[in-house]
Amino acid sequence: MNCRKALEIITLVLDDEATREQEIMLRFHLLGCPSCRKALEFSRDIATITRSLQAPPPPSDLETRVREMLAREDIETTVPRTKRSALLALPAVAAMLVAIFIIPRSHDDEYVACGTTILAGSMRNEPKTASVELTSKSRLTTAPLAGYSRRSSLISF
Amino acid sequence: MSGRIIVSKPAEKDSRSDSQLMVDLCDGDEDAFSEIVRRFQSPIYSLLIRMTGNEEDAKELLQLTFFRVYKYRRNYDPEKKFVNWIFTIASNLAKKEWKRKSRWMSVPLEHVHLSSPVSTAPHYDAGRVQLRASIEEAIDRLPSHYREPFLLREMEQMSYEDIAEILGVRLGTVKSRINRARAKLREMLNDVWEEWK
Repeated sequence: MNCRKALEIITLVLDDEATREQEIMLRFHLLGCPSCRKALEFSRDIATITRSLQAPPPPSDLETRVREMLAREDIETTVPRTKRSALLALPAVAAMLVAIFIIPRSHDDEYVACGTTILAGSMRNEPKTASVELTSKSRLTTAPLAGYSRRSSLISF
Repeated sequence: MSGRIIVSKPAEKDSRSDSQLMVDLCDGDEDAFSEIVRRFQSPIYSLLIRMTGNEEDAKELLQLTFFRVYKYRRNYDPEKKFVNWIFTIASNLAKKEWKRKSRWMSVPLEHVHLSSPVSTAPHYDAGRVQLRASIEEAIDRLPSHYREPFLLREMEQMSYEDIAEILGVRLGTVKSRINRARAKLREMLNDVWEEWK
């Protein structure tokens, strides 16, 4: 047996994976090979110390964190992606509808909104400085647009 | 003001096998998951720290490992060893992280400088502390494909068969990688060990 083969068997011996025959062959080799004897002793020391190495304790809130991740995952999978994107697009759609139905009528001094829901939605996005009066039959009219420029309305959206 | 002293009983040890815990978890037993976390958090964390080289990454991957155990709980085959399954998840996550951070490159041996004790006749224990520190450093510097099987063998006492299953390599590859890991460690630590002896 040469040293290369002996070193392979040393690994197997350290891991209790060597056969009886391999152990006997190694023992014979070690009798006449101080270099492999040293390798065996050295490897044993490394193994002993490695096994005694201690890692810091895991984070105490690990389970809580994992459950939080799972809960977030649940929310994301419960609301389908299409619905989520629809929800995100809602303010933009409202703004577009307002632009289509309301702004073109801005030549009138006063007008009545086409849809209660749309206007109610758009009013929430209006700048606080714009004065709003609810006075018409539908009870949903805006202030005269003379003091409410297109630019400011765009900025508000 | 009156009050009662409530003495809480120590939690009874859960005697269920790992596989049984997974079966129970699939049946909706949330306590089974708590027990799985309790049993495996330390060994997985210990391995991840050695594999990633820092606590922050290890914490993140540890969390992700248990997240995946729960999420993919129905993929687990109760006929197989749970320990292999969970270590495979952790190992795959660590590999993904290595790839992401391009840490696959190993440090050439000639660039490794292990500090040796400066005193002429170091005390045995002091020398052992030094050797321990040097071994930790040397393990961190092993190429990842040698480090991982070596750690699974030395720290988790896993069989070659289990390591081969976790890493998805052949038995012969595991043997040769562990052998190479030991040879490299002997090479890196020779001076420190000689002085300690």
